[in-house]
Amino acid sequence: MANDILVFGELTEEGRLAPITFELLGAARRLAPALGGRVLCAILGAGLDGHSQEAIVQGADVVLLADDPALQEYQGDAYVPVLERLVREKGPAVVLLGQTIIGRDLAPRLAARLGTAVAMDSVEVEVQDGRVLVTRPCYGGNARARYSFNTSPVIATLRAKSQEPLERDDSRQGEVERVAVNVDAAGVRTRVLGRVKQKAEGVRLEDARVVVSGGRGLGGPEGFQQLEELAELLGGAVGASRAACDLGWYPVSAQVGLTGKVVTPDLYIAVGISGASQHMAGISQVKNIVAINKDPEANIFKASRWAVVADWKEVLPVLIKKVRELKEAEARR
Amino acid sequence: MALHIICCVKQVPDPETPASQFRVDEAAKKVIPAPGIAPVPSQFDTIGVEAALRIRDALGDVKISVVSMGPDSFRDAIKHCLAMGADDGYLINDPALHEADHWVTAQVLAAAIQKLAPFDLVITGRQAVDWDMGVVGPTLAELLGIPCVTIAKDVKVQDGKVVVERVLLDGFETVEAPLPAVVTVSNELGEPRYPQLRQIMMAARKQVTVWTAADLGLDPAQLQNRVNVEALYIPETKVETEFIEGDTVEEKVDRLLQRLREAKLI
Amino acid sequence: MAIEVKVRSPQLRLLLAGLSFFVAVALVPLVAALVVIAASQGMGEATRQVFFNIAKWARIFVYALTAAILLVLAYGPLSRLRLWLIGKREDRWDRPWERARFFLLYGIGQGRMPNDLYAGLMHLLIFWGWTFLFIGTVMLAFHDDFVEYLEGHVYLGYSLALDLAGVAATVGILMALYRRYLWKHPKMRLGSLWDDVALLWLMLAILLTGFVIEGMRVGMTELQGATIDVHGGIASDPNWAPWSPIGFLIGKAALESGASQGFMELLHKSLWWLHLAMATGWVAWVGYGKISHILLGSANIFLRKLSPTGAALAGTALPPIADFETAERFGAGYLRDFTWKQLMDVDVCVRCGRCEAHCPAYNTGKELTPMGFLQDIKRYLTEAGPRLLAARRKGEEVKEERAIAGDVVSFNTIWDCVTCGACEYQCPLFIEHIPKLMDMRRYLVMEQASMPETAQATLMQLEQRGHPWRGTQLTRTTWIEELAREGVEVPMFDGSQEYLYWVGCTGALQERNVRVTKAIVRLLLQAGVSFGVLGAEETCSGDPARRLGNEYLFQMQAQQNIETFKAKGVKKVIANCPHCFNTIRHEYPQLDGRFEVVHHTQLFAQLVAEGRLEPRTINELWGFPVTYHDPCYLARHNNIMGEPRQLLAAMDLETVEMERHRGHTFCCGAGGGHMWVEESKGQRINHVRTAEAAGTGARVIAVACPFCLQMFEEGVGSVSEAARKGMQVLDVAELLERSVAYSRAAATR
Repeated sequence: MANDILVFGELTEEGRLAPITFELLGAARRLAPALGGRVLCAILGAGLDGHSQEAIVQGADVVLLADDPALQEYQGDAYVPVLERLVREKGPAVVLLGQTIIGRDLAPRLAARLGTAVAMDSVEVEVQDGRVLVTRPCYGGNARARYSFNTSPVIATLRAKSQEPLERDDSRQGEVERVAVNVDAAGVRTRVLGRVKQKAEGVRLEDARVVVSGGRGLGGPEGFQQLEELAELLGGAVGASRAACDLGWYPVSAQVGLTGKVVTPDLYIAVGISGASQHMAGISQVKNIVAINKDPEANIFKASRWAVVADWKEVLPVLIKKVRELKEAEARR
Repeated sequence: MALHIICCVKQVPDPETPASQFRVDEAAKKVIPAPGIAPVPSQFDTIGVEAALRIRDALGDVKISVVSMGPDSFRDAIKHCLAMGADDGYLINDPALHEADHWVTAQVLAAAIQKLAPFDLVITGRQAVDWDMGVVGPTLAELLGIPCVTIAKDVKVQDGKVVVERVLLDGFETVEAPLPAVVTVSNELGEPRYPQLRQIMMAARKQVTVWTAADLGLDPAQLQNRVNVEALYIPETKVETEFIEGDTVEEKVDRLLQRLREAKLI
Repeated sequence: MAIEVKVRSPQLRLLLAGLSFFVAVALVPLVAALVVIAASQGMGEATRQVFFNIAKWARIFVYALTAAILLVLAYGPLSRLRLWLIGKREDRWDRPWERARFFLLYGIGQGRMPNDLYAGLMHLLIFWGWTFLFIGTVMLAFHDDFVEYLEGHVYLGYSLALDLAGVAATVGILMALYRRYLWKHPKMRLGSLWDDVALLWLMLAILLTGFVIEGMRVGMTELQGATIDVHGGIASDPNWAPWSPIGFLIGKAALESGASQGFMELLHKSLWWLHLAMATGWVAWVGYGKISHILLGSANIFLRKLSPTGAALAGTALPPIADFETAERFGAGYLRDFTWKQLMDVDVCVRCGRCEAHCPAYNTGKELTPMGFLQDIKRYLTEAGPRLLAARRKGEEVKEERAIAGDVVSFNTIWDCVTCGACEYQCPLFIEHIPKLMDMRRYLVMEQASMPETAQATLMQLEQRGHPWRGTQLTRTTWIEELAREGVEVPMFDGSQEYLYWVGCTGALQERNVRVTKAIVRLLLQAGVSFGVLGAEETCSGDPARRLGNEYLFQMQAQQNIETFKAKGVKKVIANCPHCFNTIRHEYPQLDGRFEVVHHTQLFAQLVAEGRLEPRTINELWGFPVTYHDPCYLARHNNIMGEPRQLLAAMDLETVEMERHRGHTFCCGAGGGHMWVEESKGQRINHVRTAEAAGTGARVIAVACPFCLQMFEEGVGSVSEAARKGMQVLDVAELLERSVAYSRAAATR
């Protein structure tokens, strides 16, 4: 219906609903009163089972299941037409997707086919005077832009962890609709030849709740060993600034920043990082930044909640020791 | 059998502008260029040209065209790509298009690409480093009716197909698509090559073809923006920074940990 | 093993050079004077029979042989010259009188040899000993063929002098043999069977046979008072014998051990012919191998780069590329891209190893060795040169010619260089290492775009943003705004001021260095110096671009600055960065930008001397010795070593010198673009130098260069010895500011 909000649900590798889906549902639920419509959750995949219940207890009114072997793995040519048909049939006012590897591929194409536009990597969706407004960071996080749409539906991808999911409510009720899927095999022009999983040691940067990052101030690759120790103790991941990656001190896959990854941990510990815009773009959403830097004028302090002006070489060993003591005390309790 | 690759590029305000120099004109909803800091080609776009050059390194007979939509100053970005090794450059400079959104941009670029047909591959950056949208590439694919593979870390052309290594969260997947196709590239592909001096000198002499909307058979009045920028502003950083005090490192660390525990962060 | 004695001060070195010259030249009259004073009776007729005991036809034979040998000798350099001419043209013939003077001081006078005292002494002995023996032989020929003047006291003095010369040469050769075979000095790393083994033993043999021949002659004639075939037959006198002391000892020993006349005659005759053969063989050898340095080395000293005046080394001001449009090749990739002089250099190298011993790259485990790469080029020139010449003559293409840049000389070798100039500074034969490496770097960058990733990123950064400091959060005017907030107005240059204070990229864009810039400004204002700054109108001086091989970018940046300077009427410049200082002073004139440049330490030293700045003791630094690190671009490239020390002395600071100081300073590792380019392998140069500074017991390292400051700041945090002591790094200007402010505070109390 013209006031509904359609959420595109994503699955984890293990086949469960991904956390981003719940965040999107939370956002949709908050929009629903202003629009006066329902929250629909579309899930595309193969062997879908029990997912609908999960979606409902987290906020969906209607779950649309598109269950077909052709949808087992994401391929744009298969998913886009299915989702397009769904959107045309249900006619929602707003379509929300996650700013994920799938979302970044799917959303622009969906928008083009629906004759509308999309705002990517958004952090806020709201209704003002009957118009849907989407706010998103731009210019590497230095600025924010707010958009209104001349077309319908409004499509937006939302940044991970920018929205709060609802409290799980097991008493919620909802509908489940299995939609017919007719994937035109000839229409799927791409072919996935294979997948290579690069063994991520420990927690993935994008998922980590704690990230410990190192920059040029470390002076060399050796410092990262201490960061790894700290990250492990805190159950987090290790990141690096572009400067450190350029110098070959840490792999590019751990780069945080404009030309690296955008991370949204609860806690970000920046060690020896000056805080260039480039890097800040990768952590612009992080609320709790701890910065350890020798230079009291370092830019990173402006964005930090806690600032430690000291030489990391002195601070880190002590910090690691004390965190270890803390964790061991906790374990004993 | 010459392969024709078209790369879309644009010029952006320098992302390395110090934060203190970043200013926005909220009334005009535009970024005020920082004095003395020159704009640069968008980084992912030059990586796209690098991807095209690597295909040429492998196959040899490849023509690389660079297309950009923007004001006259965007010529510099095109020249940079020519200096890297691209063959020709095209600039769509039409005052009527200067307020274009991503949808209009994609339409104009699609028209330009079709004017440059036949083509085998269209390469764009995964996003532009000013607006950070990442929409034009896939939209081009839809407008041109060709397959699209996004966020590539490696691009090869073999037997009339493009074989792309696409970045995943924890690794990559190899995707094959028939040509012609659109590929958007990510920084994992590598650094764009440094232009050789002779290339720079040759590029300086090359002419950039300039088109208006009319040259592409488009009527600007028919190209309507689908989104409007209602506001552009610098978000207030509501961060109150606490500088951890302490006479010794031990004291500082203790205090920091205390704060983190209070905030239930560890 | 034996102690390496280093002679530090340039004045002392020149003194030693002069001394050696004086001693040598004075030796002759000295000895003559001795003779006159100690003239004994019966010496009036002292002389000897030339060609004693030797067949009559030998005289003609010797001359014929000499002529033939000279032809053989001449062929050597001529055949090498052909190979050098594979290279491009270069004019080294300007200012011949200045060149001749330089040759006298550094060639004959061996001005640089005493830098390594043992080797210097050793060479002096061999050089002067051999030279006098040679002159002596010529004198004897003249005496024999034209005027018989070697008689009486003159002859005795002559004989004494030659014996002493022979002893000196022998001692020298023995020192050399010891150094190579027993001491096994690391500098002797590249030795060859012929050039080093055979040559030394040959020279020793020539000397020893000479003594024995003399001994036999003295024993057969003078010691026995025998008649000699001179002036119709005169009696020789045993009193003459001691004036040929070695001959005297040998002859006496022979006689006393009962050697028969026949034995002595045979020994004399056979050794004489052997000596003739060896000596003429040696003369012929002078055209080839290591000993050809007599000719080639002398020529090289004569042909050294003289311009620009004040540029101490060839690598101080790199040559521009005149016309990019018509240049056939940028930089030097193949043999023919070098100039003939650059190719000649590789033949001049005698593998003494001094350059290598002082090279910071080599000493930290990297591929680059200045001696090594010269020898690599030489080897290839010898092997491929004739082929190239033949092909050129026939107008054919050369097949499979190896590139010098990147192949014969490796990528890492070319990129390891920090352009510190230690190699050029140490080379006694004035070989020009740096321009060769830099020309090859230009080829790699501008023709091949082949460079370390960090170099590429830096060049991109320079091109796009006009400064090398990627990621800086400061702008060129941030420091000015900060000072304004403190109530300090920084004047902007408008042509009315005397000086332009050139801040440079580092001084404006790096937080640590901004403190130095502010200190300098405060001092200038206090001293009432008329100056202004350019603020945002500065763009990089161009030094990093040029040293990283991008000559095109350098010229663009330099031209932009020169235009700005001219438009604003800049005449005098104060620079706090020795690299900017060097580039503006020596390299801007290549593009028609001539400005007077002074380093901030020079200006402050002058202001202190004039009393316009009054430094006082810095109490908080009592008990904290300071060691001053000479920046390469001040000390070696521009000969500025005294002024910073004057300033430290004026501040009453306790100073201690590192062993490698003044012209022997060891690079901080940031030159040649390496401030931003990662080192290829091995120890980090700045860590080695920081450890050296820590080893002096100093607590403060005083610097005069923004790069050195950065390097040492990193070093004192990383090198355990320095970190433990809590060493500090301060620019001389920062020290001065504390000192002057202190005095001002004292004055106002």
